[in-house]
Amino acid sequence: MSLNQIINLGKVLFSGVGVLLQIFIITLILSIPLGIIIGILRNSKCRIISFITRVYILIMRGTPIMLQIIVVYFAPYYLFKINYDRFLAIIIAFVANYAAYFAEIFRSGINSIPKGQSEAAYTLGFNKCQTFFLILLPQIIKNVLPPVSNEVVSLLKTTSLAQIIGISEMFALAQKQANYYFSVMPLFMAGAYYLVLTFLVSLIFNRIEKKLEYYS
Amino acid sequence: MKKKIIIFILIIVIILAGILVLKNFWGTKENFYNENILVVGIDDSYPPMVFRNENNEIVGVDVDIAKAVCEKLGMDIKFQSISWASKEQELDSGNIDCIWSGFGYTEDRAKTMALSDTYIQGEMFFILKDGSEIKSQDELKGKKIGVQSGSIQEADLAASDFGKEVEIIPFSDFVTAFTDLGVGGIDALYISNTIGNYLINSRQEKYITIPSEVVSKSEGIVVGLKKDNVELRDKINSALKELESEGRLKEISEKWFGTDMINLEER
Repeated sequence: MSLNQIINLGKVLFSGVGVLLQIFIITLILSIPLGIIIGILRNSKCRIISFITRVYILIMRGTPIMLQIIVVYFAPYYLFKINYDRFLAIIIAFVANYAAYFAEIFRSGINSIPKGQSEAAYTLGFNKCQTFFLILLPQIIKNVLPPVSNEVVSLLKTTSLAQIIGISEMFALAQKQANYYFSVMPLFMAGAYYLVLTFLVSLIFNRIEKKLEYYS
Repeated sequence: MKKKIIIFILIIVIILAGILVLKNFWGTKENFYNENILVVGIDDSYPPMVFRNENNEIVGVDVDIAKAVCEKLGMDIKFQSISWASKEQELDSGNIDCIWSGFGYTEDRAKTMALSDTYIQGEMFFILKDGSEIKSQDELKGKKIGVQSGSIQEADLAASDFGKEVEIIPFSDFVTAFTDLGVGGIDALYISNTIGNYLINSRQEKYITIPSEVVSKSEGIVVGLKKDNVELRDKINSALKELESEGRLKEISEKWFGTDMINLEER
């Protein structure tokens, strides 16, 4: 491939990075809070709630995300005869899946804080909400940061599954360009893009980790 | 105070994300109800029928034909790339109006869909690496044969006696298939000559071809529509006829294949 072609290819793939980042960022913003909520509910003393969340996590972690995407996108039509946007479908599928993983991570984070801390907070007059957000959550975040960064990086690459329902994200574009040029070069280039994005994400997480160091 | 600001910012970000999603949602929502837009489902990795060029534009034989037909019908056209494996669901659920992407006629498909007249007739063959010692289909027995997953060729091969004596390897796209052929992961590629000849010509390496004796259910390339969408099918058929008599189809075929492969036949 000539240099011009490679530059052109870079531009085409870059347009796919936009879609990738859209999926990535929206999914993260929605799935992390949802994950925290499910993580708390999973610890609930109410048997029914904890059972429901356990089943939810089992299903989300126990079936392939590829299947989940197809079900989320096509099931509403077969059930209620409605069809909707594929971008919305991919967001719902990813959020539902990643919230389950985040829930387990945050649950482990919550359990890692000794009970004495919340008891001490209650005696000092903090209510439940204050205790969680002001005392427990900052410590939990610090503890769960490494596993969360793992999931975040994996989400970055899982976005390539969006092509199952026909969303032209970066890797789908790379495959189509590979078909046009009949070369694996576009795929390697997509790999380089992923590497750069992953590097940036890890850089951000390193920063956050440094910032939180004052707790220890 | 600081915490409140952070929470405030977070809420704004979540709302913005929501708006972004909804914007996308409403953007395509129009198409579902706008009758004058033909949403064409395509597999845009299928040169020369439908593919993306170096500028990421969707081009190809079927793209040109579909555009010409829509021009005749006075409709706007929108191409929607779909995963070939879930094309039936896409059509069923109304996300696309038709499949127009090197879509072959079969009796099974005719039972579940409304199919247009066939406009291109393809024949199947095997593609092998140049210098391969295999000279006939019989010698391919016991070897690995690549096909596009979800394609007619895959179904034909699986249904034939010959297919039971070979290992069928499905590929989602042809670059992977050709790369695998190059490194010896598969021994042959089973493919239609409409796409096969184009692929061989566009590659630098040399290949040999062996004609296939497998009975193919493919009887030409058609447009696939929802079973009850007979009205649109008839419109497309008459537009195709007009285009043929005007010589436009021949032009398009010569532009992409180099020869006239158009063979309009009523179904």
